[in-house]
Amino acid sequence: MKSNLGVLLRQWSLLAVVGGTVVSAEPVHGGSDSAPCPQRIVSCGADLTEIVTLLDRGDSLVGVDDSSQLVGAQKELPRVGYKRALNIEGVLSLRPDLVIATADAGPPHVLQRLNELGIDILMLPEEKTVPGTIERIEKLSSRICAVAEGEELVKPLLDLESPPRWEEPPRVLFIYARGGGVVNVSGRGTAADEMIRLAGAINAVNDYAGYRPMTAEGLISAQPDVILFTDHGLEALGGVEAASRLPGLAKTKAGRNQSIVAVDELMLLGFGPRVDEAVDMLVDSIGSRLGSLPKP
Amino acid sequence: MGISLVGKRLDAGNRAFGLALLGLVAASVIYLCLGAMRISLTEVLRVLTGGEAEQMSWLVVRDLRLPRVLLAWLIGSGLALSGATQQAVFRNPLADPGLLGVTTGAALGASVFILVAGGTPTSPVVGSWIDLGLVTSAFVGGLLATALAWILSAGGRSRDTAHLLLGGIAVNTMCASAIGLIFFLVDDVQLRSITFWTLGSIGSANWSSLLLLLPFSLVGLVVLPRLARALDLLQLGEADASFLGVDIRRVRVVAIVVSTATVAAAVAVAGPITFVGLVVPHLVRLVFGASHRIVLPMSALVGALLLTIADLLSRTLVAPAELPVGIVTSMVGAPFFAWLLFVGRSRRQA
Repeated sequence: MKSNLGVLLRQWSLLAVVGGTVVSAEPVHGGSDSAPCPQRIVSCGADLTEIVTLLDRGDSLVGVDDSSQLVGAQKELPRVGYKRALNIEGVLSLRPDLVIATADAGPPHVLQRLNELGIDILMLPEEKTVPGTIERIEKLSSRICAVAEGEELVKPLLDLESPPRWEEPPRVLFIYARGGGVVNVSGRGTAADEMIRLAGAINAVNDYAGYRPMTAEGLISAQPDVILFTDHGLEALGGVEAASRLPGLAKTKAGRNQSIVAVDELMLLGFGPRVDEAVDMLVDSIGSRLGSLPKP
Repeated sequence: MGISLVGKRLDAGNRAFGLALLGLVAASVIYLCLGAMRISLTEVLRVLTGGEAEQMSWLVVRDLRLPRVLLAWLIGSGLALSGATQQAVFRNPLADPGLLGVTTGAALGASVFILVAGGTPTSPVVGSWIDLGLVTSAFVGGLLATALAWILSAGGRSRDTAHLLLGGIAVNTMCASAIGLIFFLVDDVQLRSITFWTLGSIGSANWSSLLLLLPFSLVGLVVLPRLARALDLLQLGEADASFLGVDIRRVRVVAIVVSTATVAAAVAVAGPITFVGLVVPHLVRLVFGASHRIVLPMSALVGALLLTIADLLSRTLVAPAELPVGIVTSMVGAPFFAWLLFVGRSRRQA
């Protein structure tokens, strides 16, 4: 048994050495002119799946992660699981020639191993900002031979850097209810904070970064005009009626006027290729609650 | 007559041990044949015997499935054997390897590492430095927690194990509240990493994680079964056992130190895997009686068998994705255990 194991280990390390040298002779990341157009793509991220589909390369997808089911249309594709818990054999069994992922996918050693086995891995930036989205589209479209489609897709996003101007910018407070009684409020530097800025509004909470649990006093002192939810979050809390009874909310303008807006989570926080439509929708929903729209 | 009864028990024990061993081998062969990649039995056999085989099947069978099934053996046997030992030492059927804080301590160690390192690793595995850091941090956390429980209970000096149990409860509570505090401090991604770690997985097994765990498991598998006679006598009560020549303090120290190290190493590599340590010893006792000469080795074997079957299901049920194995162990084990309890009850009533 022991000597068997020794033989196994020697053979394995030999394989690793051989595999390593073969791979290092080739470019690790895509985008080079010589790399062939991928025919079998595994996508680890809902926004990436959406980009590939909108680039008209949906036919090349052979597998997606669990979050991609939210994008719809890809329901019949094999699912490789949660993108942070990929397993080597599962991905290998789809025989992909390209795996696309953002830096939060993993575990890192699985991606590294797949790369050593000769599968091209395209790592894309994960920044939840418009420039981040544009960079994802550009890098992805050049790797999967869809440069022209990519330029089309990016065009509407370029206008987003000049947000609409409200007569009086509304103060918006984003509440993230993840279920199980966890109710958090977004501060600076989150995807929600960026979306509020892109809609020309002001994040009512800017004295901390990231998310913090909601408190009644915090709600009142933020003085929001509008409360923003994800649709799942509002559902988890029990709908508009239940949400307007949140402690402290009745003492704010948003609570008195029942100015509560719910937006699809993936649209609001995903910074996918259709982030321009998401911003328009957010502006419209806020405007219809307040009875005034920003100047075009 | 008493002697011949014990002799019969041991004979039956030998047969059962052989049967369970056969079961483990059979389950492992099926394990090596099934998976997201379709590889035929003959191809698997060619790979295992070093014959001509496709490079991909060679890689999947030898490099992914084989180390993983061996890891399932080591972790399953280590958890169940440690559970059986601790139940005997504390003479408490609800004792499990986490009683003295080793699992919660390891979870705290892992959480602290994820908090400090920024949450990149999602499953504890050796291969890159960051994962090795996670494994070490969880291992040290588990050992420190148990050491603290030991110190709090005045070094286990009292004849009674109740103090040690209370020390364990105190440490478990402290670690759990510290983890709660970390939940508050981490961002969303780190939170998901911690949650995923606590589900337990051996999905990231490779030869290096196997080699890392091997020494700890071997010490446990060699040392703990040797305590069988002392543990049997201990069931008479600590005073009686002591009159019969058992060095209680020595047995207690050896049992706790070795089982803690075994469990800490297993949890560090795979995360907490519930059910195996608590229920497998009971399962064995229900079928084979309470003699530790049978319970200890059988627990190790059945623990390995249960985890192998559970991980086989975790790899194949939702392929190409995977279920966390910690969920599957109780899904598989709990109904079987309930059935055994039910059958045992009706047999006693008859």
